[in-house]
Amino acid sequence: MKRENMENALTGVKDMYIQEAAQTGEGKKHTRLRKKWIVIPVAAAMMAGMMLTVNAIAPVDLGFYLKAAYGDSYAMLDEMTAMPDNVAYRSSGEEITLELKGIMGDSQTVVAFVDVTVAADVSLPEHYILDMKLEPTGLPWEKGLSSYGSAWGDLDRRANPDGSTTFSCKMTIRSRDGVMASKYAVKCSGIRVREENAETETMLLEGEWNLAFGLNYKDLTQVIAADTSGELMSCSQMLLPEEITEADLVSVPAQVYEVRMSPLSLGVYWMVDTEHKNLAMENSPLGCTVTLRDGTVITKEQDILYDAVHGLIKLEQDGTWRPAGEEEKTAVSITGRNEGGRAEGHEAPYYGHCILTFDAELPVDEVESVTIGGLVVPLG
Amino acid sequence: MEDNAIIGMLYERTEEALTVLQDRYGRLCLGVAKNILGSPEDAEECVNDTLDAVWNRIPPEKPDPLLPYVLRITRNIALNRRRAAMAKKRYAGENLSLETVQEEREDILAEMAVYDRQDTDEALLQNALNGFLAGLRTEERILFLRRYWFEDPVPEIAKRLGITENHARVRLTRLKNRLKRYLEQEGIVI
Repeated sequence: MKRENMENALTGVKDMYIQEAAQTGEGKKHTRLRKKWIVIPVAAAMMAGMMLTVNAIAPVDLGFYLKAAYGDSYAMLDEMTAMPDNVAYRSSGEEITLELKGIMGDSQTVVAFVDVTVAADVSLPEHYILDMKLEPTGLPWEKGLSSYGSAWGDLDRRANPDGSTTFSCKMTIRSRDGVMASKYAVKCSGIRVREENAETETMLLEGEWNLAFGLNYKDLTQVIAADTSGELMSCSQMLLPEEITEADLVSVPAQVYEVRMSPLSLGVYWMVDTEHKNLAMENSPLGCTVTLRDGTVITKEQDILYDAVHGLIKLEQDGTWRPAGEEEKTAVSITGRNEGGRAEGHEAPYYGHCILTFDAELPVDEVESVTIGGLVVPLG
Repeated sequence: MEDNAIIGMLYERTEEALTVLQDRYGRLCLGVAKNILGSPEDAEECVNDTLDAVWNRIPPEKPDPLLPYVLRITRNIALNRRRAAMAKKRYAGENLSLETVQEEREDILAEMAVYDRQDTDEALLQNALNGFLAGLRTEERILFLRRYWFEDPVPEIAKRLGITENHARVRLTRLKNRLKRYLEQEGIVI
């Protein structure tokens, strides 16, 4: 064999192998986001205690966004939602583990959607996930996660008319990777003070909270799941940097760059090309209109993040939301999510998405059109 | 900007596409070119040639994904330059060794001892390589390709994969041996 033969043959190996190797271990100078949507069908027989393990490369920059749908039930798991009772999620940096319990409904299959969000300085290959396996654990289900969030700082507490409490504080969120300090105003309910140290002016908050938008995913996984022992109550809360004023929560033209559909949800991924640094927290498209094939129009006028911050809507633990005071969930629920604004800075453009979650009576294929933030979402 | 947007710009003959492409993949291309050619200046030229080639090929071509397409062009250009340089050296009678052309760099394929014998059907070999790569675990495949496709130095690969240099060398040796056995099984003479 001539040297040239080998060189040429190597050059022509499959694209996916080249891409995989090209993007492995690339640095983190510039952050971009890519996602991988993976569907794993699993026989119902395997559902009694099962484990989904994802090994991925570039662990330093990994953040995960998980979805699991099983039977008739649907749960969205990510850093901004508390864990449903039948799902546990653990992350050790290089490996995430998603455990699902029990068979929901009478479906013969379970589908686990793993939408992996990765920060890296180049686009990531589809194959950057080293392997995924879904297998029975053989272990009895144990609810839960035992981590909890902690906050230190000079807290300014203020009771709100709705019973919630607003903490304005400088939070230090300790994660497995060290310490990430950020300035936030925390609005929440159900959080209590666990320890207070006047000498050090520190305070340990305890509760089941939801560290949501604008924080770095990998750092959040250790703090979002509260210790469910004791008297902790569920809460809905949002974080907002103190620097962001109401005036900053403006509508900024966005563009939809990707639409993903699953049986029960519609993901609209959008981008705001701006250097408005404070948009890191708020750039959810404003308002959403869903038109069904039968002509029904469902409108969500709210700016989800803004309204959640200001108590106009209530965020559910599964990530859905409804107007405050309304007990009935509507057929379409929407969650917004910012995916930009890294800790290192706020480089435009920002990315984000809305997930429209449809209930069983309103499958996604009944949707005629969707408009988000004035954008017509291409569904074709 | 997504790849398809870049391709869209190329189809519209918007020159900014090349700037975007360079921002997005230029560094990766430069890495490949520099590994193969050794000289930063030659590598820069190689990247420019790559952009030129992309501009000329798209349209009509519409690669998906774009990155391997671009990297492959870079590698081909760089390999051709290296071959030309080697031939020139030979013609001038300066030195027949490839090492001279590559100066201080390691002769990576020499590790595999697969060259300078008889001509081989490249399509057959390529299929065999794809088969071999498909049978590797992902990290092994990355290790192999970073060494023999991207021609990364071993210390750099070790750093990239978070393993020790020694570990990387041991694994590469095993991979080479596996490849030889695989090619022999496939009836390819090396």
